[in-house]
Amino acid sequence: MKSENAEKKVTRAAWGYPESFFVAFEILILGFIIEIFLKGQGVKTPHFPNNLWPVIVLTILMVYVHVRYRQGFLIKWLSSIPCSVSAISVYALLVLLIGFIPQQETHSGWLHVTGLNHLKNSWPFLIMQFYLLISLGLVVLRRGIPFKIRNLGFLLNHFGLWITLVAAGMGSGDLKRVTLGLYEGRDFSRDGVMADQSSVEMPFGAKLLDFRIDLYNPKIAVADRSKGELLQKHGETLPLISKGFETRLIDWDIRVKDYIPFAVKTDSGYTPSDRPGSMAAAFVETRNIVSGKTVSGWVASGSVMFEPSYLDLDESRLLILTEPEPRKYESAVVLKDMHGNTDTVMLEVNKPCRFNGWKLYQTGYDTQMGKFSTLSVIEAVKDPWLPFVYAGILMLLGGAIYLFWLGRGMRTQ
Amino acid sequence: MNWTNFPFFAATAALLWILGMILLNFPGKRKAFEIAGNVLIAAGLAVLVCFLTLLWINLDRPPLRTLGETRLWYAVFLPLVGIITFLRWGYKWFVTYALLLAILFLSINYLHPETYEKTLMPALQSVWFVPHVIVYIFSYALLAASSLVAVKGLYELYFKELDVNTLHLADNLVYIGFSFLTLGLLFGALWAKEAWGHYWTWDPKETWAFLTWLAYLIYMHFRTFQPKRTKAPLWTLSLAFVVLLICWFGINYLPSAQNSVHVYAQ
Repeated sequence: MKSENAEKKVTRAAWGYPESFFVAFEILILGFIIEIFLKGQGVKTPHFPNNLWPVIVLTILMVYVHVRYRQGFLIKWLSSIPCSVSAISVYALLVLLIGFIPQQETHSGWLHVTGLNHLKNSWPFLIMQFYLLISLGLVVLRRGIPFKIRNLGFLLNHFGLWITLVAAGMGSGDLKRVTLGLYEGRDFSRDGVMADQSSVEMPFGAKLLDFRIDLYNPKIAVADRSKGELLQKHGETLPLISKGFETRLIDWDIRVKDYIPFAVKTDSGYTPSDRPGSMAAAFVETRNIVSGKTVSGWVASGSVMFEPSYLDLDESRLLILTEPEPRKYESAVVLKDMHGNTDTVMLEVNKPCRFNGWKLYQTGYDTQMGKFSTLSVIEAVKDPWLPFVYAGILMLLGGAIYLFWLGRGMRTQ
Repeated sequence: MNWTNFPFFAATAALLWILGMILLNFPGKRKAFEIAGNVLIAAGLAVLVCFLTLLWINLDRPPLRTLGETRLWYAVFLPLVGIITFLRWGYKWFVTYALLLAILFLSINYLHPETYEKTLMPALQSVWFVPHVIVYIFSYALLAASSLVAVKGLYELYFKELDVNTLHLADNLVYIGFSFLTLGLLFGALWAKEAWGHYWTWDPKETWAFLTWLAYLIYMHFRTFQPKRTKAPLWTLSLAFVVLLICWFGINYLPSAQNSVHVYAQ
């Protein structure tokens, strides 16, 4: 009994924070050495099934050492808090570097060779994450076996994080994100472009039936002619205009007599039009509240084809109409797979659709053409590991609620 | 109702809070003063909630887009955290801190109003928008409060004697704040999957949010292992707040963040 206590004390006292941080930094340095040795080519994320084996091997190995050596010095230390804190801290240090150094591949220079400009695919990051996962995994095993209900919150948080990190990290090799540029009036297309700009043929064809865009009304503002900037009074909102709209901007009372969302210029002013390049136009009456001077005339927002038109308020100030901003845009797309199955979907930002295991997103359009864009940019995403990531996230959500509910209650050990 | 009415509402709220603080901190233990003080503080809060509600209706979109708008939410949440903490654990000084900070936020908004726009870009039009941002703001308000407590703790540590209750208050605030921080981060990930096709893209804001999360995680582990050690956790908690601040608005100035999807306010 006495000797057992003494042994416990020795083990506990043996490796605290200094030793743990020492080990964590050694591992970090090892990672950088490998990266530099390989001239900064980083880590190629493995694809299925090569990303599955490491997970299985790691899991089996961890369970084995846990069962076999759970009282051993090394395993005890690996699942101790000093080890966790040091691993999280050094990992956080790498994330900090990602936060400060722009992550853009250059293929040369010391930032490339050390891996500092592609850290998330670098050896130090991989090895550190691996180390973190081993420590976290052993912690989960120590607390989780045998399972006790009072450890539920702890396990939701720790095991949830472990699953999320493993699935997100290993799954990134199988993640496919393909951009499809679809034009109105063209036939089914299977051409896609990957993130690295390489072309890819999709397992299904897509055809754009219709692209629609909804615009906010334009805003009206007073601008300084020489500086070219908008003038605003303390905290005033730039108003969106409509026909009959009245407001006061700086020193002018403004009244919108006529407003045409899509107009072209004619000799006598502006008339409604459906032609590409037509723009927002408004006929406004203004009155200076100080001098009483009135000015009226057309203002137009301008478009890719036509110049905007301003109204001179005085020698130094102009009244301008801003280009309308998009409120929402959507595409009606027909999809057809290799077996001839078809489906028509409506894609909108924040409202993706599914088709044959792919998720499709509305991402963009020809912003210069605005409402008259015939191009709709769609992204197709396939992420087979997503259910595991979501399982992890769900556990973390549960863990967070548990943490909130019990507060410090869960750490009375 | 728009930002031109803000000074009136802000001044009313600040006045009520100042009166409330005076009553609450009045020497001697008088229950009536304490109650009156709390009522005044709650009234100030109600005034601000009124303004926020009317602003929301007027803008036709949640007022959560610009920094100025989020500062307004802090000015609402901080007194709320203060009152709850007071009712739960009875720290008077903490209410005062929270109120002073809220008044500071109101003053910043008065002195530096931004361009307030009605438009909301399609990427932000989502059911996730309000929960994601509100959960984050609430969490930041709590964590900001915990860092104030940490600074107080450090002051006590170096110049007086550390009151064990100071650290306990910090722990309580961190645990609740951290749970909301986790919710905010995960809501963000789930929303990103719907809006941009992937739950994590190492966007600079994501990177810094993750870093903030890790910093508080380190604090919590520190505290669990050797609760008697105080210096390291107190410093960690103070530094964690610096990371949080960079994540919150420092990101607009970082060279690594020029292409961030989170930089909305021009």
